[in-house]
Amino acid sequence: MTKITQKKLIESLSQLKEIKPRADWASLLKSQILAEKKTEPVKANFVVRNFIRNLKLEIGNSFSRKLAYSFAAILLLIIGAVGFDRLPAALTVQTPLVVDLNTKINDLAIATKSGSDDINIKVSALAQSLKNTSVKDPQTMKQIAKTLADVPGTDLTANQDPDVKDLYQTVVQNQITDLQKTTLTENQKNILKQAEELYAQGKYADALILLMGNN
Amino acid sequence: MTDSLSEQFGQIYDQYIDKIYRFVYLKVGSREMAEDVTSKVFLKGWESYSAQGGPALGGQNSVIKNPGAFLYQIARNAVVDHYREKGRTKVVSADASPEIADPETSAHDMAVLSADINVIKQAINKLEKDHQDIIIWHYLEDMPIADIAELLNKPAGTVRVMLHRGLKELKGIIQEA
Repeated sequence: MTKITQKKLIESLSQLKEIKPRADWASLLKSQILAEKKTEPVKANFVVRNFIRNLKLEIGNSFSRKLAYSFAAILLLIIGAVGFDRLPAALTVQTPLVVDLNTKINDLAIATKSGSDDINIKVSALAQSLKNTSVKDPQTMKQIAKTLADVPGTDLTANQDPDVKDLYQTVVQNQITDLQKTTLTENQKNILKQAEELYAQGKYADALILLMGNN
Repeated sequence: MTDSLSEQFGQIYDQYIDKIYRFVYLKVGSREMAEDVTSKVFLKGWESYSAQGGPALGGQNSVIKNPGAFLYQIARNAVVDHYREKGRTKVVSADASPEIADPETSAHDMAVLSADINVIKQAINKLEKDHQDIIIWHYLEDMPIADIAELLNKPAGTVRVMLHRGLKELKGIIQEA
């Protein structure tokens, strides 16, 4: 084919339309693609590829989904366990003692606000309750400190009840320790220094009022 | 809905199986490879079509508005993947006829194609890829220039120029043979 005109070339190209797929192959391929269940293989390697493809889809749809759910569940359990461990003790272990302590704090706060005559009794009750309860939660300690700081008069430290004295001492010591671990401004450092001096002198109520008044 | 989709895609399949097979066959040069690649094309086409609801059912996919363009695009990519996977070059050596490359193809070709057409088939296989596509689409599949332009995302004028150059290149290859 040394010489060929463009017309002849185009005519020859049109003849390439004779190229067609085998009818049985085309028919089987169609049914294989459209059918849900593969019944008859068109070609061995095609079937193997389909099998692998289906396997991947199955794995993708079921196994990895289950795996993902399991992983998510385990992750939630871990997060829950860690979070639970980090929760304040007062929130996690509502033992009768903690409930009793909270009740006493509320009673004292109410008595203080209403100017009740039995503040001393309430403070003593709170002191007794705190003595029986190990409080590690800083928020609870701060709540106690605030409640005590609102109690009018500072003569409570002179109270003959040693439990009351212990209550103030414990709360003040706790607040001072907290502040010592915190980054403070110059003003706060001065207040802390004064509070430490008052604490050393045994003036726990004064130290507490100073600390809570500037907190 | 799945049955309806199957039916729709079945019609598309019937309409395009010959064209896609021919397009692939002229690019890969053997029946076995053409069947393999064409299978992939329609399988991928069906997956996309069924996954996206199909245009006739108001599916979200606007890409399948033109099933022909959609399948040809998959076929082009599949041929590229085929050569990439097999580590083959697009163009067979000038002396190697399909008969030598694939005896099975030889029997098939000899049965349906005349010697002259075989020469043209080999010549098409040696064309630059874009010229190859345009010539097949326009002269074998009677695809209008505008549709080819849309398929290749090129201006119609550019496609005309490419078609002219492709034809000239093809003529040159045949005359050298």
